[in-house]
Amino acid sequence: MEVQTQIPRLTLWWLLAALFLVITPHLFRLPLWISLLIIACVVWRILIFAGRAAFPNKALKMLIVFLSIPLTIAQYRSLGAGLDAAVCLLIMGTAFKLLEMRKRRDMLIVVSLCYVLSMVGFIYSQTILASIHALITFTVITGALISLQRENARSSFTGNAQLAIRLVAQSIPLTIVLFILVPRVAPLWTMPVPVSSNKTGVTDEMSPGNISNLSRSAELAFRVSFDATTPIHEELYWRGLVLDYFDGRAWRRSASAFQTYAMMERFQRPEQGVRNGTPVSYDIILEPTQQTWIYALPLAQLNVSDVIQDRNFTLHKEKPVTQRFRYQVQSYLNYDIDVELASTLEARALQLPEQELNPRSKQLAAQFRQEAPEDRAYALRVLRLFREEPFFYTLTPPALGEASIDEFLFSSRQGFCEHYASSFVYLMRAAGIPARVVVGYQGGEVNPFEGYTMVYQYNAHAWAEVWLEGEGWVRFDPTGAVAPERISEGAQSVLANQPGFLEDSRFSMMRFRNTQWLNSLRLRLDAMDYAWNRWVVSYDEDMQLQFLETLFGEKARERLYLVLGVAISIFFVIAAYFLLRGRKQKQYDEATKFYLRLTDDLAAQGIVRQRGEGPIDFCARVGKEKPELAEAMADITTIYVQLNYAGKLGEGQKHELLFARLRQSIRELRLTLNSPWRRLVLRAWPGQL
Amino acid sequence: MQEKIQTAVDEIGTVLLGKERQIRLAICCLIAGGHLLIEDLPGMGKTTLAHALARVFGLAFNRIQFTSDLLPADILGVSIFDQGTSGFSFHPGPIFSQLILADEINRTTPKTQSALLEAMEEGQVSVEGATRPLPSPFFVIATQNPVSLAGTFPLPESQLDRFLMRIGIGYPDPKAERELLERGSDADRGAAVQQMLSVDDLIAMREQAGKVGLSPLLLDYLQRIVAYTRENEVFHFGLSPRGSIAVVRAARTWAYMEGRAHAVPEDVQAILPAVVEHRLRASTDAQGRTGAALVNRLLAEVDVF
Repeated sequence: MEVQTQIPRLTLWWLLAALFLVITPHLFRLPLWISLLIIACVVWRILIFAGRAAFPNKALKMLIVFLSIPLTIAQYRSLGAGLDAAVCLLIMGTAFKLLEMRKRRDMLIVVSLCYVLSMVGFIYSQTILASIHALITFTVITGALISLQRENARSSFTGNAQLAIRLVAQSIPLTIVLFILVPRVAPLWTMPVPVSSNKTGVTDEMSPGNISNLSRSAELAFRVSFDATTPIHEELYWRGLVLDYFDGRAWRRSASAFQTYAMMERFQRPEQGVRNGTPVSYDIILEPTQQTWIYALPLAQLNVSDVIQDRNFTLHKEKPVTQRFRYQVQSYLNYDIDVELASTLEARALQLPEQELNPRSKQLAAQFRQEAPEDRAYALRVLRLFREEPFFYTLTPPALGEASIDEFLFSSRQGFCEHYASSFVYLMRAAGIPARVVVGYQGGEVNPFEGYTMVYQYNAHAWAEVWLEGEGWVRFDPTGAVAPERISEGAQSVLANQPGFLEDSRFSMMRFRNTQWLNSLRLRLDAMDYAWNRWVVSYDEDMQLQFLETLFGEKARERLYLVLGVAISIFFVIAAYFLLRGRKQKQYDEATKFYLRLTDDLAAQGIVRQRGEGPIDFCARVGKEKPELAEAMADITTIYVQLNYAGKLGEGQKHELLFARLRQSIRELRLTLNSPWRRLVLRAWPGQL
Repeated sequence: MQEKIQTAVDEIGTVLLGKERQIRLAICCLIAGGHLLIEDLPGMGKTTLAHALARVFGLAFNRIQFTSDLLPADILGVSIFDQGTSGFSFHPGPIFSQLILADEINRTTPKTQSALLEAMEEGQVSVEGATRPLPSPFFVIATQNPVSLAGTFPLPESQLDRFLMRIGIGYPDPKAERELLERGSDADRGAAVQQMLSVDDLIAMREQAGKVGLSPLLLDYLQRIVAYTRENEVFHFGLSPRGSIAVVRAARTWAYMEGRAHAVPEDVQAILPAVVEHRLRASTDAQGRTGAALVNRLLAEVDVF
């Protein structure tokens, strides 16, 4: 095949289309100047093809490359991201390759790069849309490859497109089977994480204003699907972290608590929780948070290898959640925890800032304590304060000064859940009752199409836990006293008309939830995305094992390997059969069978008979290459030609005689040709001689 | 008889140096009773070969130089009014001869070409209502320049088919060329060739060649070749039955010339290029795959057994 040096027009268009599809999803993420550079490269390439521009010369190419590499690194250094810079360089390299694409070989490189880039896209997004996009991209790249390989005369747009579609369509079932069955081996490398994504969700510090900030976002936090019925909205307290250290303004985890996974693992004590009744089972897919804690209803029980439950019954993962994380939980909603409170915990739950900034609150606590000396009654008295005095639940409370609790309780009286939780716990501690702040999410929206629950960032919430004698930690939600519908119906029903709600998600479909068809569309799309995540993206080793167990029962993995092994062997046997059939299927006469055995032996000696080589020519060649065989070979050839070409001898006596002679001569010659070992085998197995 | 053929080959070899294979093919073609087309560039010895062939068989021959203004009547003959007998009398043209040397056949118009080609197929000519038989044996040896040269009328496939063989001559090897240069004469030396065979010999040989045995294995091979040309997509069209019969006829004659009473695959392979090259065309002729490349594929890719 001669090498085509000209790039055919059709192929170029295919290639540009493939490149366009591959790069588009990245364009919006790349810095503007790089996007413009890439577009310039493509335009230049088209101009070259149209004959209006020349290929860049070597110096210019060098200049572009040596300028763009440091610029890219400088651009990304501030973000500290190795992966993004690498992807960016790969894309730029592909675009630059266009400018020196003269030959078929160069186009093959670009096609290969396109394949790689289309996979790189999955680092950033694994949604259905991304997969559909990848499928289309794959088809187009394959089309480009076909158009590149086909001869010009037989290349047509529709022909190439049809073949590409057919190839991709044929590969889909195989991909699905492989996806489901091939053993998941842990990658040899760690998957780098795009650092451009920020930490999201509830943080481990609660100060006035930072939970209300979350309510500006309509981003998804996680999705839950309950095995049986969904508990009522008031029960959905998704615990995240317990914050028990107050510095007068912000709530944090106390420094003495075990905050690292390793410490928790090492010093974890037996649980003090008592689980009553039947648990609620559910399955959570958590969106990436870049944080280590995960959310669940109390009192959770889960069996995931790298998740641990700490002393406060919150859940911690060994590494930050950088990708969607799926876990199954059983929660005993009817629970008793820490009925006996350890002294260290008690000390932590009574801690107050050393510097007294809120004297009026202290007084108030003392006054209430006199009214209600019993702990529970005291807590209810505080809740009554919130309910009966003119407190307001608002997203945009006025800023608070140094004495945040006093100012909130006595002057501003407008606040979001963090204000209520904070001042409630403060009042508890001021009265000597152990109490702490819990942050997490409250509530969730049930998707009517699939029945799972969606929890958004605006569901972020803070509440309190108070330790009561004989009961352990009991949940109190002071927000419920101010705005009961926040707890019973959800944030969106209370906050919908407040300024600031969902302010950061201006174009979110959530804002149009009152338009019915749009809302239903939103829910349907979400349901699709959820199903995709649940069944495809989060299909991991555990899920595979589960699935296989339903297929094969116990010892699923061993059986799978067996089945796979057998299937692959069968495949190879069938393939081998079809490949070797050409020779085996042919029916040779007896003389030719013997003759071919001889030629096989000669082939092993390096003299290979060509397909179209007749016996006489072959004999001459053997004589030339191995003179010592010439005589015997000539003899055999004469007899063979006599037998097979000299007229119609039929099955007569003369034929039998000749055949016997041929057989004898060929045997003799073959015995001299073969190695001693094989000779032995041949003698032992005369049928093969 | 084989020695006689060898002497004839050697005799022609004295004027066409170093071209034994081409000479043998040409003789094979004549023994098989087929017409021969010699195609090559000007000055390669086409006419010399044709002339020598006629001489060596001792055939009565006429040479017709084809030009663009040659008319059918110039070949076939005309009736002229004879005052003595007061009637038309037919004056036969040069075609009434045992061997016609049609020089540069592709330089004349299709009309004239077809007059000759009809005679080749029918063995008779029809002039002015009367059918006149041609002498026997009747051979046409035509020469032509490759069709890509200017001022030619290429023969269509249907007419090429009438030639049993088409051979080229090719440049002489350096040794032969040296000898040629040393002789230094540019006269047509075909006339110097002595007669070595007679018409009777020719007829006898043709009869003998017809008795050459064809084994089932050989026929299988032939059919594989034919099937390959019909099934493989690089061929614009497959070999016609007339083509396959021609292969058999030539292979038998070749085996006879080799002194065998039966044909072997090597016989088929020896004559295959000459017999089928001009009958085959690649489906993408623009790529420069001529019949020769296709025949090479046939030889290389069709299983002998």
